[in-house]
Amino acid sequence: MSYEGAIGMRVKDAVVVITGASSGIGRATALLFARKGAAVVLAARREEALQQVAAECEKHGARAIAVPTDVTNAAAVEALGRAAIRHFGRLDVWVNSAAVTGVAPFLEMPLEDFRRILDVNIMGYVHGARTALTYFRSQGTGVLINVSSVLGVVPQPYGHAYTMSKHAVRALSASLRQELHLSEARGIHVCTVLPATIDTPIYQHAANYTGRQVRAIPPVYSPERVAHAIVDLVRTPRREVVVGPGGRGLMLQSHLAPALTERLLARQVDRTHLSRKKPADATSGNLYEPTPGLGSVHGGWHGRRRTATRRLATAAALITAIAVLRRVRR
Amino acid sequence: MSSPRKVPPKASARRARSPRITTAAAVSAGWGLSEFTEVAESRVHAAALGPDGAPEVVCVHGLGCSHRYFLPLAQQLAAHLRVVAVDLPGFGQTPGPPAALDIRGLSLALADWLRATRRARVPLIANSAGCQVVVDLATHSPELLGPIVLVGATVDRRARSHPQQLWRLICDVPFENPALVPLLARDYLTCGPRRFLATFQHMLADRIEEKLRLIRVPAAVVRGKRDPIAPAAWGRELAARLPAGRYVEVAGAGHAVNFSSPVKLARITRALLEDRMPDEDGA
Ligand SMILES: NC(=O)c1ccc[n+]([C@@H]2O[C@H](COP(=O)([O-])OP(=O)(O)OC[C@H]3O[C@@H](n4cnc5c(N)ncnc54)[C@H](OP(=O)(O)O)[C@@H]3O)[C@@H](O)[C@H]2O)c1
Repeated sequence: MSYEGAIGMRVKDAVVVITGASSGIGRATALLFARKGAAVVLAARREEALQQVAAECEKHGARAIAVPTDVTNAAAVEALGRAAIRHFGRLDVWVNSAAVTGVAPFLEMPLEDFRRILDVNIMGYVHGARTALTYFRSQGTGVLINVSSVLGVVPQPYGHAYTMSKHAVRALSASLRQELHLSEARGIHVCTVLPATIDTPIYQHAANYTGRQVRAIPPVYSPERVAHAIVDLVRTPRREVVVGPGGRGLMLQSHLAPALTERLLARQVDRTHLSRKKPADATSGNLYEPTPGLGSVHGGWHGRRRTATRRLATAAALITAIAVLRRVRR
Repeated sequence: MSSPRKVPPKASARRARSPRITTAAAVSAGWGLSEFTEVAESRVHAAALGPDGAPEVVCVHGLGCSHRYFLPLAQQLAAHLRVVAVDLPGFGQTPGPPAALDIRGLSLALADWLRATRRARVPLIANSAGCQVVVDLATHSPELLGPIVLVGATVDRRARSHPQQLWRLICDVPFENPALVPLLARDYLTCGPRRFLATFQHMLADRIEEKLRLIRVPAAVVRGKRDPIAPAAWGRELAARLPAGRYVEVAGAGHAVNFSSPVKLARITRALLEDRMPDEDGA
């Protein structure tokens, strides 16, 4: 089913639910929707962090409510949907972004942790999709946005549960699109976002049994960039959107030379994702309990500065090329 | 016409004032008394009939109507039940906002009123578009729902257009008690043509069938056998989509069973409340 030319909806005054809104991409997305005049319903486990995000959204003149929710609890996610309806009268957009991750050699990952990652990242999205589609179907309109990852296309070593879950999320979106197509629900859209490496606290939140510190694999992009892609999807829904040219390159590479890409990415994870110098204690990260604190958008992996530098470099190269071409033509 | 995007004020803001409830002599003949509740940014009127302290049922009217056409049913039930028929904002004796509320807006107002008057879980009897309002409660306030009787539920998904609906309305007239015509004419004038049309538009946009699976309480889908507005296939579909739904047809009746066949509807209602399988003869 082609989504080319699909017409979405106005962002201003849309009612948007965002899971994972206390941190990283979800938080950046909530703030951007607020700036664009949407009403936002913020969900994650940390109530105080959500209150802080809500206050920031209100500073932008938006209406916002914080609804502490564990997405693995189906009844809690249903209540989240009802809260949106009760406060704002309707539900237009649902963004699934709440997720956890963990790294370990396969046999050393506690089975319980493995299961929890699948539960949060897959069933959490399923619960969100069920609630969202209940309302979308009764209205005949709505946009569901599932945040997957480039690791939903190209797998990663040591992060089995995570990469499996991100593949599953892509499959869920596609399967839902097919079903909507069959029932001719033209006003309802399901989109998948595939970010490359993003500067968020996810790496500090990860469960880790490798004995080595987890770091972001460059090139690192800003969470604001993902937020912009998500807001754009509301206006112009598309099946899948990759955020970050590095990710697009990786996907192309994996398409052309899958075996080689698998091996290269394995190497890269081993060399840069897991630190060779900095050790780390075994931890279940934020799988069962959220990390203490009020949360933040960025993870300190310098995404913003790096993005800016990269853009500047690209622009400089382009300008030079144009200048050279002009000289040659004269 | 109001935009469908109009967002009602925050529930917290609406709930902030503690509701004032006053009672007075009935505003229309036949009823016991009138109740006014300051809630949902309005002064919501409800007419009541039946013994004080008896178990209550709440009636929710359809497009352009009011509490008034529930009187024949109320008289049938009033021996054992207290029947409370509410006027939704913009209809009957309840003032509404300048722009007509959509189904969600009406159901949020109904939820506020049910809470304010402590009528959570009271059985609800709805007619026509009132069924859409009652079913919509499940999307935000399922905890308020008790047993439900849906009479002539709208809008048949196979005929969601103005001409089809208008034609069906005209076809219904011969099957109603003639006294309904002047009664409804007065109610329609009270709500006014603008609100009538805007509400009608909102009704067409609402897909009641997609929300039925949220209703976990016992529910009866009742339909007059001659009702052209809610045909048999539609009624059966609704009952089938309800997790605990039953389908009952009333012989000889049209759309407004509550007005034109009150004895039979009273029997069906009592059967549902006593948790018996309701059928046409109320056995
Ligand atoms: N950062 C990247 O490099 C990257 C790349 C590709 C894709 N992604 C994807 O982007 C999304 C957001 O990731 P992020 O980088 O922003 O991660 P993050 O900063 O760790 O944020 C994750 C969010 O999920 C919430 N959460 C975790 N478990 C939860 C649960 N059981 N119930 C409810 N909320 C829960 C967390 O809040 P609480 O702890 O308060 O509950 C937090 O708000 C994820 O789907 C991730 O897979 C990230």
